[in-house]
Amino acid sequence: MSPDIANPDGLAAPTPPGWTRYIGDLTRPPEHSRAFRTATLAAVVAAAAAVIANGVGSAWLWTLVLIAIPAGAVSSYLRRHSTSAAVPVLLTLVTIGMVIRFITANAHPASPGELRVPLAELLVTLEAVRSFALRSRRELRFALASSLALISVAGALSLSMSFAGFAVAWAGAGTLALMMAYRSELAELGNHSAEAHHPTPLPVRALVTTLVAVGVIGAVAFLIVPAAKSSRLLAFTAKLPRALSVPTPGGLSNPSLGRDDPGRSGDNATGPAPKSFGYFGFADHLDTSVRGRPDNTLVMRVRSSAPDFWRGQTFDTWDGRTWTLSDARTAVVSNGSPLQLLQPVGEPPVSGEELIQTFSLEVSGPNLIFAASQPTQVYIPQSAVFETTDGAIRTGVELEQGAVYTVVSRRPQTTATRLRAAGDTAQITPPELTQRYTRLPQIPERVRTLASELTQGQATTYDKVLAIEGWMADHTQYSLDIPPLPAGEDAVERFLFVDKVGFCEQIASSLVVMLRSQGITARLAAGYTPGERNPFTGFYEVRARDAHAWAEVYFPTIGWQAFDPTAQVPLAGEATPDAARVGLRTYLSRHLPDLRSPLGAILALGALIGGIVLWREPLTAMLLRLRRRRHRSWAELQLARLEVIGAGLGREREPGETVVEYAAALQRTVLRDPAVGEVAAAITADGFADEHLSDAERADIEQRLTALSKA
Amino acid sequence: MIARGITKGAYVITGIGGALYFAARTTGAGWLLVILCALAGVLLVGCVWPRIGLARVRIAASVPHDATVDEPFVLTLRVTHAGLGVRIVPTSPAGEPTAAVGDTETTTQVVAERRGVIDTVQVELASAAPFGLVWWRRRMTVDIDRAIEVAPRTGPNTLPSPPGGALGDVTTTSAGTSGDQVRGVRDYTPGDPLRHVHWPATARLGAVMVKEFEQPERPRLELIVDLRGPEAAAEQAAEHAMGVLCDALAQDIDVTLCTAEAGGPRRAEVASRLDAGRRLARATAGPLPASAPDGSTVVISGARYAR
Repeated sequence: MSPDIANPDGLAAPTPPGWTRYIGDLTRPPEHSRAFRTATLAAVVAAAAAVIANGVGSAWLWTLVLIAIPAGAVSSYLRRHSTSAAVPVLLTLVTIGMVIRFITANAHPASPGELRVPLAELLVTLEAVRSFALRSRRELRFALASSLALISVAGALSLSMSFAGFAVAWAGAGTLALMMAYRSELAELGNHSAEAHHPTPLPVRALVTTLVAVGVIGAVAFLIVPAAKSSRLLAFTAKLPRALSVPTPGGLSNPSLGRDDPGRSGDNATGPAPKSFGYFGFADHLDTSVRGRPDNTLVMRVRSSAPDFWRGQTFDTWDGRTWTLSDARTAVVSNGSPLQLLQPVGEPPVSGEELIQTFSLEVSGPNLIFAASQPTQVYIPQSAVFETTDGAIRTGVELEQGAVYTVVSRRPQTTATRLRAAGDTAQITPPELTQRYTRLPQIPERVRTLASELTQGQATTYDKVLAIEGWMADHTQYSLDIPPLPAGEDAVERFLFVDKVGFCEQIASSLVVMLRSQGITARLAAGYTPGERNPFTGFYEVRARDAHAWAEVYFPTIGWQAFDPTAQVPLAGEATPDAARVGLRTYLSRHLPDLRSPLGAILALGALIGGIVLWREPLTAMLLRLRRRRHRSWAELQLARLEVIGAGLGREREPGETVVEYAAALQRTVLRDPAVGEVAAAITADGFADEHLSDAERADIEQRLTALSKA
Repeated sequence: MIARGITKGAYVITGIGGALYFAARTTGAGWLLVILCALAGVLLVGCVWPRIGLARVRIAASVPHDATVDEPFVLTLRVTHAGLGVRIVPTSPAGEPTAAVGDTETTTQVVAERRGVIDTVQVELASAAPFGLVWWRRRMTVDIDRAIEVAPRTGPNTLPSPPGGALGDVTTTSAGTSGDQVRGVRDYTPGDPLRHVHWPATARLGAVMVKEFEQPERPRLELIVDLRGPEAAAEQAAEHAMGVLCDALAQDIDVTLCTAEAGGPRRAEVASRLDAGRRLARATAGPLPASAPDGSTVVISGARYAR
């Protein structure tokens, strides 16, 4: 009489008559556990809601989730005894119809990525239909599995932390549903006991312990799992909410700058004010005398397997105060999808590893395509983009909130060694680049002298850059609060010798100017620093305050290399761990309450007290065991060995059972060896009768125990 | 303790986990890794928890004193530390599976397949708590509060009626008094039947006297059960003996049972069917006591069934 554990449903239901027996689950016993059904329903609703909250479907889908799925679940419960095939057949037909409709409506997608949203809609709708056919435990388990598929779809669509609430709700309900399914399975066995009819409530401690264990193991797994990354196996995401052309094709447009928008001429006095997140560097010039920085607005999310500067454009001409681009001509790139970008004028191609970056815009910004250097391909739902001679990319349409594009860059794996190995690049840089990127106006002599002194004795370009960076780090300070630049003064001289405080525009301009004064090919780049990596979404969250200007130095065979004394962005060749945990500590420290704060202290204290209350019994027992273990006598140690032997054979020592009684029970049941009794007698004599054994006798008992354990 | 089986649920979670990993590594969706890690937590807890939980389970059992081969009886199990639930299957004696959650008492029906004295119960515990993903199994010997004496089945009734004829292998002797012999006379009391009046004494004493009879002597049976021989034959002999005993007791025959027990030969009267079952439960193969035939003697030998 052995139970068939492989058949978790246990009891067989009466077989329905006729052909309906072929509708599988009508032959299975109905599931009666309301707790299991409720937990499953909660998991399904949480998963479906997560999908819809990520931009899938509309109000009717919300209605479906909030009304149809619960209604279907209730209906399934009420009809669980019915073996009529009418409803399953009807639901099957509806499902087939919906699938056919989906196939016909999406027969010719422009890219597989376009199917994501309709497919998610279909899944949610099918889940709602299926909720009317949850009769047996197997069907409920299937619903739980499909809720896992739904929450995964939602996770794939989600860009933000708003998914976390749905994920936690789904995980809690799903875990509870699994536990309830198991209990329901066991309850079927308890037909001979009161347990079957009056099930005990779920032990809270066991439940909490389970959830904590799952959480801890999940957290540990998260620390070791490799990071998510984009691959060419699938089509890259690209979408534009609408195609609103920029005022000048190929020109720069940045509505966030308001009246300073380079795409709108005139009206400088009466036009709209710049947005709080608008950065003045995304224009046709960069004025270092402008004060004020963008705010904390989230401007875009970047999915990339490595951090880098997200460059928007560069400037090559310095007039002592303002940067401009000398050659603003653009070339049209319209060579298919993806768009294959042109090589910047005068720059030989470089080789390197691909870096795929997907940019999701959270606010409307400039029509610049941001990318890590050096971009080679762009995925965007446009037939053409415009490329300037320095390699900056502009779209012909406004890039509004919700726009998504993907850029493939080729990054030389630069390291300090490789940069140093390039030597003094002044002699080997292509002449047109040297000509374009070493030009300077009349600069103050002391700036040139300082640069000369700093780079004196440095053999390589890289060391020269580091020398100037080092001096600036030691003698200047980064600050957003700087005095205004007096009219007619040179911004670099003022920063290096007078104010000695500035922000990225002053620092980067000074670096470029000093490098150019030494004949090194350099330029100013404007864009964003990588932003904060959200380890859960895998996105770099780029905020307006991350708008940045930095210096770029040209290295033959490597290309343009960014240098910035104020931003910690690793070189492309420096090993960055391929792990999901990257940025976790920083993210948590910024977003979790500090334990030193009142809220953090209250939360920590609450968790501690809750834990002690919940686990007081096992904790106390463990402490007592540890204490006893520390002070165990020889007899207690041997008794423990005997207990281990007995337990291994299936007979554990009962509470209150004496050693002799235990030995007798062992001899009677599982260990029919007379040595057991002798060992027990010796242990009793030594430990409890104050008749201490000699060393030889003890050794003999220990040997017998060893023999027993081997037997 | 061994892993009994991985359920479809575990395979499904593993498969979906693999798909999530692939999707995360191709689409770059970080949330998929978070879900994957949660699944890893569920899977690992589902694999390890039952192993730990089963090691902590304690069981004590209560049983009735008496049982009969192939007849179900109730086994009461007091289970502690069952946590989120264990499945319990009695294996010796075999019984219906039952379940326990937390600290609880549960009952199940078991059936003894063999005659004898049972002082422990073997159970198989199985658990897949808390998620039902991987079943672990553990065999456990449970002490019971008192031994169960399992009587044999009641075999075919071969006791002829009335006793005194040929029974088994041995012929009976002495049938005892019949109960119609006059022991003396006494005074008449109202209600005495007229045919019991002792007329000579009445005439002699001048008062109505009635006859007083000897009590009729009950028939006696000496049953010798010899269980030496092959095991199956011995069991058949025990069943036969049980049949004879039951029949004899039903006919109000005094039975003296001679058996071998673990403590040595035993010869004692059997008072009831329950007593008969217990005596035969304890009976083993061994030297028998010397019989003192003062009534019918029946010998039931296992050797006879072996032929």
